[in-house]
Amino acid sequence: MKHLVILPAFNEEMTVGSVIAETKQNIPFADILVVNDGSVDRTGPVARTQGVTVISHPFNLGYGAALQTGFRFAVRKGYHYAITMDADGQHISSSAQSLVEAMEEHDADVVIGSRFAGGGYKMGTLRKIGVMLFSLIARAYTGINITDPTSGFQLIRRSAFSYLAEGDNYPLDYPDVNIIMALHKKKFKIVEAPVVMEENRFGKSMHSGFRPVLYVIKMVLAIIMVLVRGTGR
Amino acid sequence: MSLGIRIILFGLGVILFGIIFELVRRRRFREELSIAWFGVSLMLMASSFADKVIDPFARRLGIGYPPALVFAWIIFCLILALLYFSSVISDLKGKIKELSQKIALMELEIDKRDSDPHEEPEEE
Repeated sequence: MKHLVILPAFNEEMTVGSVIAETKQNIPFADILVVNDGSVDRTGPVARTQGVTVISHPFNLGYGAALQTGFRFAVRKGYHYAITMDADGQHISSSAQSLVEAMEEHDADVVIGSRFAGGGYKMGTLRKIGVMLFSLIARAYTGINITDPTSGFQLIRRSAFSYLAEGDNYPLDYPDVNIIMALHKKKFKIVEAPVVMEENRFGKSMHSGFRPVLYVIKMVLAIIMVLVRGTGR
Repeated sequence: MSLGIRIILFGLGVILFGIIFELVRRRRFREELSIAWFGVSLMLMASSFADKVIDPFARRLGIGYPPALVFAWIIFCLILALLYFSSVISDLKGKIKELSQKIALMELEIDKRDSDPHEEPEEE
């Protein structure tokens, strides 16, 4: 069974090298793909020196688009499982084993790594409210207790990532509760497993200024569209 | 503001909202780009109820016919939406140019490799 770790990276030259080295050590059974999403620093060359496959977007397309490029690569190269992680060092690769075990135990299609399921993760009050709100929506729609719907640390079976690799099935920016709902609607089995995450080492965040407001508006619209669209593409 | 104008404004807002919603649902319009147009349609709907604000404000500005201020406001909203879409088009134009150049350079590399498979690829 072929596993692929997908690391979307945008200006992560400070962390991508160590993340790849740790991932190689902790997930030795998987190949590693770095999707360099139009970085203007040395993210691509640094990743290449680690001997992993690097795909570079000609310009920044967004986190979701970078992941979708990874899914498309995984489909083309015949991978059976994809593990998605961030290249900023937030996701601790040794936790991937917990995702693999959860997938085997529940025969799931998607395992979401939850930073809250194990406890001990701290975040700002506004972000916490946002995560709780999206968790409630996810639970109301899917009936599954998903404590961390914004988590990008996931293990995805081929059937599910093949669906996400198609056309507009994955958003350009941040996949969130809308993708969980869309996957549930397509009858993919989703479970959650505890993982360890660190607060972003370099303090970069998309949640600043007017962005959170725009993000919530976009997410509400995306959720409505999942509800009103048919189950086809 | 007369009841007729109020109904027309609200109706136009509802129709615009419905059209945008349907376009997004059919994936003919990207969600992130639709937000500006949803904003315009909501402004239209809100304008039909806003005479308590608009009428005194229009009088203070010396506008004899208050609905003219509503239309000026709508035009301003449309200009903002157009500006936003112009910036999106500019961004896309730049990206298409960059993609075209990359594809052209890649084609050259592929042609070179086809004609001489032992040649080392050039560094960027």
